[in-house]
Amino acid sequence: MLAKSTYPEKSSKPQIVAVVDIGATSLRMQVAQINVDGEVEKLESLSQAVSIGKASFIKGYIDRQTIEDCIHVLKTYRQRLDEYGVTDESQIRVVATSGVREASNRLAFQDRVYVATGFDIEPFDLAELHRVTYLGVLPYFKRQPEYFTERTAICEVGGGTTELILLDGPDVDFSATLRLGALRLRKMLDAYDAPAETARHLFESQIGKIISQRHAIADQTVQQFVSMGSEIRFVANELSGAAIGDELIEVPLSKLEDTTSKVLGMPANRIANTFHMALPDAQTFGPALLIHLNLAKSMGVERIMVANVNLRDSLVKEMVSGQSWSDAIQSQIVRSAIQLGRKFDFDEDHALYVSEVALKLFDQLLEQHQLGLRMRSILRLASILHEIGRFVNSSGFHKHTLYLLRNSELFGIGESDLKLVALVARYHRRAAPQPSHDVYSRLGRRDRVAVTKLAAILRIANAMDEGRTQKVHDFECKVVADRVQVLGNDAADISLEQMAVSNARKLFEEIYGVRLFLQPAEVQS
Amino acid sequence: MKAHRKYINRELSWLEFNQRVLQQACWKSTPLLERVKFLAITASNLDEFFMVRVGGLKMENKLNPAKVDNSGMTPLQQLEAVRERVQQMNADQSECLLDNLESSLAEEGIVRVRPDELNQTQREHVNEYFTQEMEAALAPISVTGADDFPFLRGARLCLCVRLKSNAADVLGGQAEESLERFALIPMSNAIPRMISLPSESGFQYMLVEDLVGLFLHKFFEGQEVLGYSPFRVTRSADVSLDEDGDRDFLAEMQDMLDNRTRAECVRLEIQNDASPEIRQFLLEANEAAGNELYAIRGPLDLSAYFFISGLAKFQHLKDEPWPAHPCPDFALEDDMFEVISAGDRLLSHPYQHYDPVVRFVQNAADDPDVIAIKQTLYRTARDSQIVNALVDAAENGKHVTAIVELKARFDEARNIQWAKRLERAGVDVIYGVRGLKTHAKMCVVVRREAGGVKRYMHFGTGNYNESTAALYSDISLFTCDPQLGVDVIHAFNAVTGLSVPQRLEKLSLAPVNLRERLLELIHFETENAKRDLPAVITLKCNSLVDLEMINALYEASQAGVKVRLNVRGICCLRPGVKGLSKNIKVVSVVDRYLEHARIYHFHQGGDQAIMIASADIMPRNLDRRVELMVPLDDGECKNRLLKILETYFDGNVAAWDLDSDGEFTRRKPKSKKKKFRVQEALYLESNEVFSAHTNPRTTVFQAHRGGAS
Repeated sequence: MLAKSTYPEKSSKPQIVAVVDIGATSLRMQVAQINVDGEVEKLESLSQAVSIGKASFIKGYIDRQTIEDCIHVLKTYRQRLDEYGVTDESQIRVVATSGVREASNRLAFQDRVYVATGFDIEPFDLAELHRVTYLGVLPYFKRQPEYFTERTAICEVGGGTTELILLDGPDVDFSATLRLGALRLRKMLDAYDAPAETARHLFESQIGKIISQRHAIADQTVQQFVSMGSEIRFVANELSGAAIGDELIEVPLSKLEDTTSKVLGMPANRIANTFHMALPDAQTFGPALLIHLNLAKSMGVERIMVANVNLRDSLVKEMVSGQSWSDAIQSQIVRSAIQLGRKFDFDEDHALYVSEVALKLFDQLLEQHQLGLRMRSILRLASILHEIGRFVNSSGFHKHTLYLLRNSELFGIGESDLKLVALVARYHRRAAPQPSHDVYSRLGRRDRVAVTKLAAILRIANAMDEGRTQKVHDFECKVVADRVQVLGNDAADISLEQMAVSNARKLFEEIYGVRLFLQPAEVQS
Repeated sequence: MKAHRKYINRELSWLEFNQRVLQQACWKSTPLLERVKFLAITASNLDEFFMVRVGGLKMENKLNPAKVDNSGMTPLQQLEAVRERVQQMNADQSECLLDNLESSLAEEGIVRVRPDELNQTQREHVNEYFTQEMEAALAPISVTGADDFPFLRGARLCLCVRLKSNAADVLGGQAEESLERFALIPMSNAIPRMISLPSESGFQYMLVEDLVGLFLHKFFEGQEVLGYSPFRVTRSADVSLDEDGDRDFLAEMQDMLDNRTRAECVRLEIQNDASPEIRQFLLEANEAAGNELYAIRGPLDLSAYFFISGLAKFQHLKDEPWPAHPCPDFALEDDMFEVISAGDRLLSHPYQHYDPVVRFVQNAADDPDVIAIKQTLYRTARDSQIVNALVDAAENGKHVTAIVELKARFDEARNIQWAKRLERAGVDVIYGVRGLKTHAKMCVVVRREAGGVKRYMHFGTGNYNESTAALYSDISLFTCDPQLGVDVIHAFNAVTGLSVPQRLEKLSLAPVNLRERLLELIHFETENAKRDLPAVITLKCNSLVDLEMINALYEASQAGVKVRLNVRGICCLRPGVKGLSKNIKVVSVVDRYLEHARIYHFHQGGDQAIMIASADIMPRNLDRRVELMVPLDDGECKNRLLKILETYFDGNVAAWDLDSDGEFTRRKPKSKKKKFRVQEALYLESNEVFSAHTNPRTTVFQAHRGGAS
């Protein structure tokens, strides 16, 4: 999901919002206040250890006791929110990461949590995690641009997964989620019943295996390595002797190596005592550091830079900006779409032109479609990528587009949003959406209608470049009674496009209930 | 230098503290009734010392007789040293009372009347009093030895009476002629220790044991009383509730306690004129060794003299009152939250009124914008206004959380009472953290304002107790610093188990990071001194016991840091030793008010870090209690607190220097004019703060409120 359509609007009163993060090893909540000027003030952070990942990574499902432990903690969080008077669901985001995602009974878990606590867990997938991670480091681009001039890796180690984003300058080059997590490693040890002495060796071979499986990262070198996550933040704090503020903190790899070795050589209860940690955190401390260390080593850096961001802060930030993503995020997503298009050898000029026209139509027909910014972004991506199916075969290529898109990764776009993008692209030509169409028919009604509305716009935009010469740049939509006139302002000959539009407008006219015409500049009256 | 020479034994150091209090009682410049009060304090202090510390040492002696403490002494050696020191102290106490105070008191008309000194009127009164008030309240118990010796709670004063047995009394009539019997008469709590006598002027009284002695024949009719003597048995307290001991030691001791039904005798006090027979009998009956016996010249249990020091008629014999100054920042009509919003406020109690602290909670209870109050409560006053305000707040629909420490020593019963009351009112009462005493003093008021949620905090070095606030020197800080607000909520969440401890940016919380923070601050000065930069450490606390901290201070001294310590009580650090602690000076102030504030100051390369804390520098505070250390950021508050702290090193009256032998020497002013009394200076300082406030509102007088003074 790109963003809930009901995010708090900018208001004249400060708003309190909360993000609850159901992670693999703990349940955390960040309560923050968004001041009138949009500034975020953290009110409090809560964290309780509940090992969801322990259950789901090994057994594949979350057992009853763990579910009830979660409920117990979430109830106390709910009470705290009641205290602040935060009751409106639009003020609360609840996300679950790999621990829940990988459990076979995740739906039952979500339902149980909803019934017991009223918390509505958003399915939050990997691509969205990348978006949020990227959002988290964005402020550092401005504050410390010197670290983002060449190739940079951003690495966040969680309990179940590790997020890795490779940047070229400030732009996303590649993003991946590795099935490599602190708790997962730790549990592997239990599963193999391996003695503690061999732990490090076992961990490292597993980390190495996972890195080598991903070609895109296997032989990468970067100039900077930015690390995030509670464990590495802790180390940075300890080593620097000061709290991490708004600046990246440098940790030489040699020091990280020392700390990691020290921690891995200590039993968990001693780690807990020495560093004042909860026992479950102590158990995953060493493996988490080792992942940072080995990834950084494999990418050829001498030091890592530690950033003080976490998932919850970034989600709060998203809540501040309301429905729309920041321009920076938008442009990263579009970049990633274009990269994908290039992979399938698309007609880039055509694609970008269609996307431009489609957005213009969308913006001028707000009255008619009544869709929000989230759908605008879907339309944008679908129009960029609508033709990639040609790479497979030009016959029925819109159907190839559908499955190619559904099986691709777009930076920052979660599975459910990607499905919408794929469907809009698929319906840019030929058959209108039908109840017999498998993927489409399984959408909810709102999404079904939205797909049709967007596909109808895309068809018009596509038709407006029938000649593939990108002629109509400047146009205006005029709505008179049941007619939409698209008035071109250029002097070019657009008879070809006119014909194409009249062939493509059926779906538009059906869904919007109006007739649509493309008219060149001369015939304006 | 041998390792054990580096530190002063903590028990002996504590006894030296008590000796300094005793010196206050002996000192002729102290007003007479204050002297009596100090004497009483030393007695009640010693009682607690025996119950807790000597009890612990004896236990340790059984479990780990070879274990050597930091000063190099085994438990037995410590017990012997303690005994020797206490015997001297007892002699000093007796001398103080019998040879000094009583004659001075008599000059003022306060006279202790011996049985043979009663006049006719008094004798009649005593007769009547005994018959009407006492006879029924006292119950003699016949005792034959250890097996039937009754368990007398709380070191109660008791008479031991030696009787000649009648043949008829003895079973089967087979008694030997010389058979003796013993009986005990425990003094009842219902009867005062000092019985006032009719007199033409002044105040004449008789000690209850003397009075009962006159009427022994009434209890033992037909029997011959061979002699009697008052005595007291002090038993080791249930030390398992105390967190003073080592961790392993406590666990071992717990087992030991479980196997034991009766706490053992740690001290047997009798008057030195008691007959050898009574002495012998009491020793045997209490299964006490000779070295637990303390033969006292004169009356036992001098804590009873609190009564004399409190005689209303003789207020002129007490300290001239130093009425607390109202805090000019918090006039009655002021909105406290507005005042705090305008800037941090520092109060110096008891020179400044405690009332703002009480009002802070009261205002929060009534304020419609307040959504939550969270507070720790350790020892509260009787009928505490703060507890009442919390009850009101809960009834007004606020979310109120109170972290209540039930284990505050010797206060458990009272604590449970009002904790239940809070619960009934709907307060979320949390009974501390398992294994840790909640000693931090923090209160946060969460308020919803136009600009959003805002937190107002009170941090203190003293308990939320209006009564003791008038007697203890403490510091209060009011602030609404947002970061402290976040930190304090995180501290509450951690203590209440709502969250694992989150990183604290400004606050330091024991047992999480307070120790580390203090060490860090000390090391910072050490490093600076090594680089020839200015480095100064100035600490004020009640006790300095923790070895790691002491070593860090030694290290600082060796690096050239100027270290000044104001330690009221125990100080295990040995100052002024060449090559060890040459740059460390220790001064102790024992005066009218109990020094209680903990103030920690570090030069910090000129940044002047200054903090207030609830924690002493003892292992129990740093490792086994929830404690707080709060930095001051506001320039004005910082400067004021620095000035207050500085004052403690300038005193030459009621101020003592600790030398490298572990001896305290009283400072002497060079002349009368040069007299500088710290507490008086601080009183004047708060007066200055009050007067300097040129705001017209200084003309508004504020009445002292009940309970707060």
